[in-house]
Amino acid sequence: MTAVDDPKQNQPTRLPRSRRLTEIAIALPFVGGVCVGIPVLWNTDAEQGAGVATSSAAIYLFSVWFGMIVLAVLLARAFARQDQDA
Amino acid sequence: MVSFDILVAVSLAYVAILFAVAFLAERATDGRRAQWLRSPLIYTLSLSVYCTAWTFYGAVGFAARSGLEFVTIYLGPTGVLIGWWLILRRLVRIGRAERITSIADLISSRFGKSAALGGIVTILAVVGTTPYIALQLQSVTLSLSVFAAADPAAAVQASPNSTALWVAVGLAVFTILFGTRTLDSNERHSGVVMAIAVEAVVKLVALLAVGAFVVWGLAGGVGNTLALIDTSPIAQWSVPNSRWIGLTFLSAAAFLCLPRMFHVLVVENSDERHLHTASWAFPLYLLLMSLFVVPIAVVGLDMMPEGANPDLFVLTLPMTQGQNGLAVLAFLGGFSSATSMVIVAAIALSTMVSNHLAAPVWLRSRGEGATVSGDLRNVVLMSRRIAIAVILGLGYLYYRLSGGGAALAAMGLISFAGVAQVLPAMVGGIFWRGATRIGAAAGLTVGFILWAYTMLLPSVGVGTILSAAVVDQGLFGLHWLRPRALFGIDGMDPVIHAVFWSLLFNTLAFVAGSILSTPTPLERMQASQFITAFDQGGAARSWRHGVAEAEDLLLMAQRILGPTDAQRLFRAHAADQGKTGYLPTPSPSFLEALERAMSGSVGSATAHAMIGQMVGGASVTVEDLMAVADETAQIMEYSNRLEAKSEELTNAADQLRDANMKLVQLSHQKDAFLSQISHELRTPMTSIRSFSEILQDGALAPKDRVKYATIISDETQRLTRLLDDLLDLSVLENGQVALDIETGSLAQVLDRATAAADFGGDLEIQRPRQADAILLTTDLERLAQVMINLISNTRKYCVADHPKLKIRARQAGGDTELDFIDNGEGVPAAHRQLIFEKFARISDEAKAGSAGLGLAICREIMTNLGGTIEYLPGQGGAAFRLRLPASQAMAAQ
Repeated sequence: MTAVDDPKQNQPTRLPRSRRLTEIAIALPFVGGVCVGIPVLWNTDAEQGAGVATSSAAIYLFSVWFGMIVLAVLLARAFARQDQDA
Repeated sequence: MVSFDILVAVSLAYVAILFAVAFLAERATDGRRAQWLRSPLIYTLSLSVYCTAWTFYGAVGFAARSGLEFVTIYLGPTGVLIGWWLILRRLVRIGRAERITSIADLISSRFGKSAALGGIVTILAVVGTTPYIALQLQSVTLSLSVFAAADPAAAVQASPNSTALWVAVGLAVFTILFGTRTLDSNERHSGVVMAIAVEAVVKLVALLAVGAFVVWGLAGGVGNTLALIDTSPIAQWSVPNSRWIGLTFLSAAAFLCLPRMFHVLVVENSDERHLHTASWAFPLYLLLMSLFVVPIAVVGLDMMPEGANPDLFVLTLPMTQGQNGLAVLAFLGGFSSATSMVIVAAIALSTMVSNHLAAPVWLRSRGEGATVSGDLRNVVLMSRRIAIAVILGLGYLYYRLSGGGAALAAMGLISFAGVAQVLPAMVGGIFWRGATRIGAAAGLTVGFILWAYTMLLPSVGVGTILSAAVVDQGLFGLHWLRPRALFGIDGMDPVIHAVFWSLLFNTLAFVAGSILSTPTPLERMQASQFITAFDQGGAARSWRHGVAEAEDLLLMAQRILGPTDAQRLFRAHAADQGKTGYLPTPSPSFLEALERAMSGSVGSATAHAMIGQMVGGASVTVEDLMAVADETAQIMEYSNRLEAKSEELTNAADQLRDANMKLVQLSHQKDAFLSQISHELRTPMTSIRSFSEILQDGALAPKDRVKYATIISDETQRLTRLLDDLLDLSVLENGQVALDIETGSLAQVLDRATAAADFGGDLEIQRPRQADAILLTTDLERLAQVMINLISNTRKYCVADHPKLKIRARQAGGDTELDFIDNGEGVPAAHRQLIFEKFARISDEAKAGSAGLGLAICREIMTNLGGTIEYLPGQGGAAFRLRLPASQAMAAQ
């Protein structure tokens, strides 16, 4: 889609691809930090059985961890493609 | 049951395989397979030196004690790698561009190639890594003792201490063999890296195998394992928030600052793009290493007898289940973890020690420069070997001191907190232009001291270095200085307490020091190099085409890079310049390249200094320029001072000359005065003598006798008058005269003067009409004396037929002016300057009847009264003007 064909010519064009990648790369650790910081909200003083179970906590943490890795893979691939294009 | 001997044999075989891998990898570096050796995969695997025996054994123990808290140690590095764009990318770029050889080199280079900072970071790193190495020795010893205890046939029940010693010695040998075989120009060790990659695979496979066995072999599947977790002692999430956040942050900081991590992350990095792969592959590696930790811990707690060391569950679980093969694999995994960490840490630390402690000292001790001294290459290599031995020795010593009893995780955290002290200076150095050397040194020192006091020293054991009194009561008995409760804040987790306070004050000191100090020019240049690492590709400084002979440079480069590498470098540059042979023109670009190559071996500061020595005066660094400028400024200041001094001297000489001239004049005046006075005295004396002789003859008519006696009497009076006048003049001239100040009218004074001066005759005196109205406050007696003089002068010298003296008085602005004007001929212009001098007489002596001291005395009196007397020309006759100030009392002083 080129600008000429675009009926909404006056709309701001999307950011350049490289810049978007950079911004995602910068945002990613902060997103991960927030997700990993969630356990701070969990009750650590609860009665036995009333708090967050270690098994659930482990599933949550490893899911976040794995999710971040998947995002990092996608990002790394995008960077690699960009390097190839360049 | 695996016999102890078989285990030892397997270990030795494993080590032999590692030797072979390292050896083959180094051989292959030059070949076509080098590409593969430098792949992103190998890079990622080499990062696994982060996972030491602490991970392999200690994580399970950690989990068994405090549940999921152990993942903080892996989430931190995951965050650093996921966020590689922020810090790692910059670090790697700077590291490659500036040929950084270690974290100490990074700090030193950023802050103006400061040797002192490099030394501080090196010491900090060595001290901080020591507990970590002790931890590895402890884990290997523990794992070996598990096998030894299980083997009743073990001929020699090796004591833990001697086992640790042998492990330390073995690791030192391996590290020296592969870590200091060559002095590589970019400080990369392909052999070691390859061996570490292999070890990384071994430990991952071993842990996954044990994990799989535990989950599916012992617990009976994932569901059962989760159920088992929920019934275990660590069933509930119980991580304190401060530890959850604090430890994640600490591990992230340590991941960047640990010398061995910096080494594999930055120094061994051969391609920035490897970071793309590592950004997800290494977190994945960490995830896999952590995946089975909780299951192993839970199953271990469930199945192992009470009191079993949870740090060894990875090993003891398979053993008690009869899985000997798995147990040996687990042992090798732990062994790999420990050895790879120790090897890389020792290489990284020895590089730092040789570049930032040994080389500067050695260079300084040989002031004459790099050319004439011996083979630096050998010195560097030897210092590295010694450093490796010393570092492992320190680790062993710490192991012995701490009693080998501490939990693995606790020891690891001490190291983390120690090396994390570099973080403020490092992050500040690459992002903040205003960070200065002073600030970095202040921050590092403060952080190091606080860390040592709150964490390291107490860890060695209360009573070893810190006494129990200090721990309980605080240093010097100050309660707020207790090492585990600074500022009286009790109840903080000890690790978080130490990390929080040390890093807080470290950062504060760093920021404050940076703001309050001024960076040197070289610091400014390096700062802009580091901070704009992505904006430009230029080198830090440029060598001017100099007098350095290519041959001398080659001679030096061979000593540092080794003959082969040096000759290759030189030939390549010669070829680039279109020359054949080994000697390129020492152009600035070539010198820069050579310095970069050398800084890979001996650190940037040393390399810069050595090239500086070689190129000598022809190369001018900013610092040199500043030094020269400083010197020039000093010389200029000195010369200014000299000029001022010389001017002073000239002035003094002028003054002396003036004084001398005055003295000469005075001497002349004195001579003239003496001759004058002799003459004046002699004249009356002569007549007195002659007439006395005549009188002695007798036979004189009485009339004649009376006449002669009268002459003698007159002459005597004249002599007396002269002497009186001289005496008076001398008193007046010396200012010793005592004035008798009183107030009276001008008329009174005039009355007295005319009465005294009137010897009869026909002088007509016209007095001013307002004489009664004018009041004078002065020494009236003396003023009258002046008037007497003037009146009698008129009487003597006025040649008019009817001599007249007109006296006018006028008061103006408080001053009183009195004019004495006669109707005679006046004083010829040529003599007006002379009349006030002593013995000045214009007309002949006889008529004057005095020695010519009158006007001189008048002038002196007027001066003493604070007034003046001058000759007033243009009045028809002789005219004198007396001026008296309003208040004579003041002027008399």
